[in-house]
Order: sequence, then C-alpha cells, then structure tokens
Amino acid sequence: MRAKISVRQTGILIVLCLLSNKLLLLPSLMFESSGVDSIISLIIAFSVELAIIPIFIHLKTKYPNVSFYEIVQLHLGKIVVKILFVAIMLFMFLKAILTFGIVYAYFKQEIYQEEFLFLILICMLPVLTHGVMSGLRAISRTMEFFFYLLIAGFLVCLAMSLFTSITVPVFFTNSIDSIFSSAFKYFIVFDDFLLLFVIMDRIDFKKGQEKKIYLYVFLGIGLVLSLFIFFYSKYPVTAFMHDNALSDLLVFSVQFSAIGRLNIIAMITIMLITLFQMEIYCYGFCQSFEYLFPKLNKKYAVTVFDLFVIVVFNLYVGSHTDIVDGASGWFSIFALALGIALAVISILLCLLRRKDENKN
Amino acid sequence: MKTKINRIFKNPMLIVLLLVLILFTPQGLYSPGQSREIAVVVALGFDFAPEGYEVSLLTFIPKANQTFKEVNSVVSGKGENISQALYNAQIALGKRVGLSHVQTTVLSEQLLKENVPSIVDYLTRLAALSSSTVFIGTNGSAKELLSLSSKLEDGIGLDLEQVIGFNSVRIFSSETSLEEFYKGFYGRSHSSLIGYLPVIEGEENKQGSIIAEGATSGGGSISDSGVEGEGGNSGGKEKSKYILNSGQAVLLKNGEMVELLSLEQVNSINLINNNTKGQIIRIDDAEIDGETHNISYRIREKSVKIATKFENGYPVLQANINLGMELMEINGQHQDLVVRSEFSNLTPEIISKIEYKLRKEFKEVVDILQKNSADVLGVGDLFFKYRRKEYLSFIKNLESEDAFIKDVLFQLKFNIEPN
Repeated sequence: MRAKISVRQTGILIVLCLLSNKLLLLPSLMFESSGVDSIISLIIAFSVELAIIPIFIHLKTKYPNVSFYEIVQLHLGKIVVKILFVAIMLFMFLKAILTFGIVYAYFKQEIYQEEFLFLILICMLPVLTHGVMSGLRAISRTMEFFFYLLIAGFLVCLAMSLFTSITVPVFFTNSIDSIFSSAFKYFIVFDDFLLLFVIMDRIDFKKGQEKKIYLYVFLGIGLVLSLFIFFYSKYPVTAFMHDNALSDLLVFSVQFSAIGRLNIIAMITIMLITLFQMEIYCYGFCQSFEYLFPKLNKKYAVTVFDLFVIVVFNLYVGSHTDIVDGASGWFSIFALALGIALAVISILLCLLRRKDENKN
Repeated sequence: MKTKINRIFKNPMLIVLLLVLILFTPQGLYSPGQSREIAVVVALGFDFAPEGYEVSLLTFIPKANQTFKEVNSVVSGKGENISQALYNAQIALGKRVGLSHVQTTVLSEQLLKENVPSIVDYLTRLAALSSSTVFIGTNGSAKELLSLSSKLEDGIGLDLEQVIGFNSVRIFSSETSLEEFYKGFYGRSHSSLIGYLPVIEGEENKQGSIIAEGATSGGGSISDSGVEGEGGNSGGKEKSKYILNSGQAVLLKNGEMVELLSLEQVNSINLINNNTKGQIIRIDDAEIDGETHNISYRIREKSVKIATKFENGYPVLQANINLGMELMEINGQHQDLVVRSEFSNLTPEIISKIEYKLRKEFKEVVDILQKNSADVLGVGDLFFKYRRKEYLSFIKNLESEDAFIKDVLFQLKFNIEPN
C-alpha cells in the first residue's frame, strides 16, 4: 500500500491550492469587472466550489483505500475515466503555467527587468522534479515544515498595510450582473479542490476528521478574503492599477520612504508559495499521467511535464497580457465545465455506492 | 573516490547543483558589477523643452569614501516624448537607468497646466515606478529644483522627501504621491492636491522657510559633476536661488493645474479634517485688560463630527468642530503684560473673532473648490456613502457628478475652548 499523508498535511495542501493565482493579479482584474464588489464575487465563487467538499468527504468515507480513478473506472467504464483524467491532467498543467506565468511577470517587474526565463526554469524545474520524484509525503512534509512561516509572511504583508491610509470600502456599487460575471470570468483560478480527487487514496482519513478539513478550507478562504479586503481598503479607487496585490500592500506612504523595499517580505512569501503550488500541480499532472499510462512510471511523467513547460514558456513568454487573455477566455470555461463534471460524477458515484450498499 | 562519485550519481540534485555552478560561476565572476551598468536614480524631473520634453535624473553615484557623503549628479536628456528624452538621458549618463529607487518626481508648472496624466501614466505603467513616490510641482524648471535639492542634502542633510513628508503629515494631511494623484484623478471628482516647492531668486528672506541655496550658471544645465544631456554651461551672471517650502499645494482638476493654494488655503481645506492640528491663528485688535493686542493661538486639539443630509432637496454638510486653543503669543502694546495662564481664558470677543476668521477663510477656499468643481474635501464620497439614494437622485439633474460640490451648503458649528 502506498504511503499516506495525514489530514493536517492534506489541509495544508488545500490552503496552498486556495491561495494559488489569487495573491497577485486577480484582485486588480476582478476590480476592473466589478469594483469593490469583487469580494462578493469571490464569496460566490468560493461557495460554488465549496459544494464539492462534502461530496469528496462522503466518497472518501465510502471508499477509504481506493483511488478515484479506480472508482470511476469501476462504475462508469474506461472511456469516461480516461477522458476525465485527460481533462484533469490538462487542468493541472494550465494551473501550473498560470501560476508560473503570473509570478514570472511579477519578479520580472520587481527585480529583473530583463528576460530571465532561462534562469528561472533552471532553478525551478529541477526542484519540482525532485519534489515529485520524492513522492507526495515528502512534498507535503516540506510544506508542513514551512507552513507557519508562509502564513506569518502573508499576515505580515496584510498587517503592514494598517500603517498606511486605509478606508472602509463601499459595497454594492455595481450591478448584480457584473458581480456574477466577475465570479465566473476567472474561474480557472478556482476549482481548488480538484487535487483531492487525484490523491484520494493517499489521504489517511478517519471518520470524524471532517472538521479538520473544513478548518483548513475556511482558513484558506479567510486568508484570500482578507487579502482582498485589505487591498481594496488601501486602494479603493486605483486597485485596477496594482497588478501585484500582496506586494503592493507593502508599499508605504511618503513618510516611510526611508524604509523602502519592504516588499522583500512579499517576494519571499510569494516565491515559497509558488514553489509549493508548482509542486502540487506537477504532482497532480504526473499522477494523472501515471493513471492514463500505467506502463510509464513517474520519470516519464515528470519529463513530459518539464518539456511541456519549457515549450509553452518559450512560445508564450509570461506577460500579463498573455496570461489575462488565456485566463479569462477558454481556460475558465474549461475549469467550470470540469468542476461541474467532477461534481456530477462524484454525486453519481455516491448514489451508485448507496445503491450497491442497499443491494447488499 | 569511486564511492564519492557513485554517491553523486545516486543524488541527481547534486549533479544539477554542479551544473548550475559550472554554468553560472564564470559568468558571475567575470561580469562587471551592476553599479557600473545601472545608474541609481533617486529623483526625476520633467520639463517642457523646444524639442518636446526634458527629463532630468538625480542620480546617486556609489563611491567609497570616509565622509559618508552622498555623491549626486543631475543629468538631463531631451526628446520628442518622455521615452526618447529618458533614452537620451541614459546615453548622456553612459549607463542604463534603474528607476526602482526613485523617491521623488517633480513636474514644472508648465507641465502641470497641460499634461500630467500622460507623464504620470508613463511613470507608473511603463517605468513601473512605485506609487508611493513623492509627486510635487515647482514653479520654474524641475531640473533646477533637483539640482538645488542635491545641494540641500550636502548642506544640511535634508532631502526633498523629508520636507514633503513633513508637509504631508503636518499640513496637507494627505500624501502628495503618485497614488494620491491617481486616487483623485480616478475618483468621483477627478481632483487631486499635490505639494508644491517653488524655487525663488534673490537673497532676501521670504515668508516661510528658506531651506536651500545654490549658485547656478545663467542659461545652461545645472549639475554637480558636469555630466550633461545636451549643451554645456554657457557663462552667465551668478544668481542665488532657493527652494522655498511655504506649504503651498497645487489643485489639479482632470489632471491639470487649476489653482495654486497658499498655506492658509490648505489649512482652511483641512479645517474639517480631524487629523490636522497645530495651525496658528492670529487675531488682530483683541481687547485684553482694556488694551488691544494681536494674539496668536495654536489649534492644540481638534475633533470634528460631520453629518450629511438633504434639506429641501439640497445637500447640506454639517460640521461640528471642537477646537482646543492654546495661547502662543501676544504682540502689540504689551510691555507690562506677561503671558500668564489666565490669558488662556478666551473671552467671547476673541472666540467670535476666531470663529469669524475660520469661517471666512473656509468660505474663501470652498468658493475656489466650487468654482473649479474640485472636490478635494471628499464631500461627494461622504454623501454617496451615507445618503446614497438621495445623492444618486440629485446628481441625475446635474450636468456631471463633478458639479455636486457646487450645490453643497456647508454649515459649520464651532465650539472653541482654551486648552
């Protein structure tokens, strides 16, 4: 039996997934669509994706040691499961390049100014590869080790903004249409619980531990919402101009100009969070690859991932325009469709399981 | 040895580490230090030039010395547009320009009257300047101000941001930064207030503080080290010039300068702002013990409660202003008078004179704001926040939302006590 990760480690993975793609560009993008009411859009989007958690927990309780792939194959057949996992693999890849692209653009703006794609790929890809090859337990243990540091860095960034002039945001200034459309326009940054289905058999979940899962879910959601609230309080009118939300919270007022470059705190936090998120998505991609091609092992999977990343980033070097166009276009439609499909399939599996139990 | 090599091959990360070291170490060792390639710019100045624009860079040159003295230099470049002017300045400097450390941006008055948003847009979007960069105007040439500011730092160790920072906290009660400009520009009233530091000629003291002096040559560019973007020093008569910090501010509407406000006008704007204190109010011909004196008071404590309402369909802003006044000075015929604590008791006559003066000055500045539809008081935001329905229905009848302040009636109620 494969080594399992604890519920706490699962919770940490959930928090990191919830933070992905939401710390830098998303607040300003959503502000353009629906102003300060983007916070309501965010709550709507989180509410939609939260619905998958009880379904997952129910499914996990019914199938404690079976992978999601095996469950779907058993009840719905090989074709359905292959299609589903191709979609999941593609989704993991899209999330990885989106995460990488946004952070690349951020560091290019803040530090490097010139192209440094080669440098960042050389630094990041071997670490990702090694992490994935070491296994889920190794990467989740590493994340567990750094978790409190990351949360502390995040909270410091939020707290520092209290030393500048902030105003209470005024809500309900936009139409209901714009609030709802803003929630779904960038849905690619959501679907954060998809990874749970990929690593379902690797989670050591006992009955009664649901509360812990929900605790981490709400922690992640709380962190993202507080970022948005602080960001819009600090930039109630000009939020659309600040592409790097977590970092721009640390931009100080004139009287503190002597301190300068305090955004190093944000940079280190973002760098670590991004590395872990990339590991998560790379692992998800590789695990899906292994399910689809059982005769090829993890080395092949991770090589394919690395090659895809290198090719994509040499063709579409990360600029905000490329990222935004993709994220607000078919990426989000795909993510929404996949999320709905996963929820429907999971509900179906729960019903089929109940039917089997009643039969027995 | 064999076991060591086997250990390396069993750990691929060690191979990667070795590869990275081999690939990058020689490049790192043999490439020049970044300070030789990139100039650290600490302030930017923008002026109009016959060709188009002139961009001046106040650069910091890292030099080893034992006096801890900063070595600054002003370099300028001219071009048809901002990016070309900046490019020419880079050529003049012989280094790439790094704008990450820019703390101050200065615009000449001519530019303030014509073209602020396009310049500021370039700075924030393309040049990626920090939005907390100090943003000020000056009367003459921005290049001159930068040159004098470097002398200021040499002379008394004071830099522009510290001066403007003081103004921001003590006088404007808002930052004079790019972010504040944008907040106003994209806000409801499209109005902003930014700091203003004029450069004056002459040796006499003007009202306010003279904080820097420097000799400039007549018509050429001004710099310490003689590095110039174009042209050289043309000889000329030596004149003394000073940076004058008199607490003035520029009122911008739709990104263009509409008024230059004096310190008194700025203080009047901040009358209904809880955070500003310390203003000096002078009352002439006040009677104490049968004699008339000119008395100066300081606002030591202030609390302002603002209420918004609509009366007969018109917006009314009510401000209850509680002031704690401290007696500072008595002038005039007072040879026998000594400042004693009993003079802190404010007579009804003095209170009414203070009230009258404050109301009059506030009304004057509100007239300016209403004339220009420049709501830097944030009145529109207050009504939107607390009286949204009535506000939205009221502005439907206006030509534009900007004009809301023109119809606002201000009701001030004072409670003045000694402190």
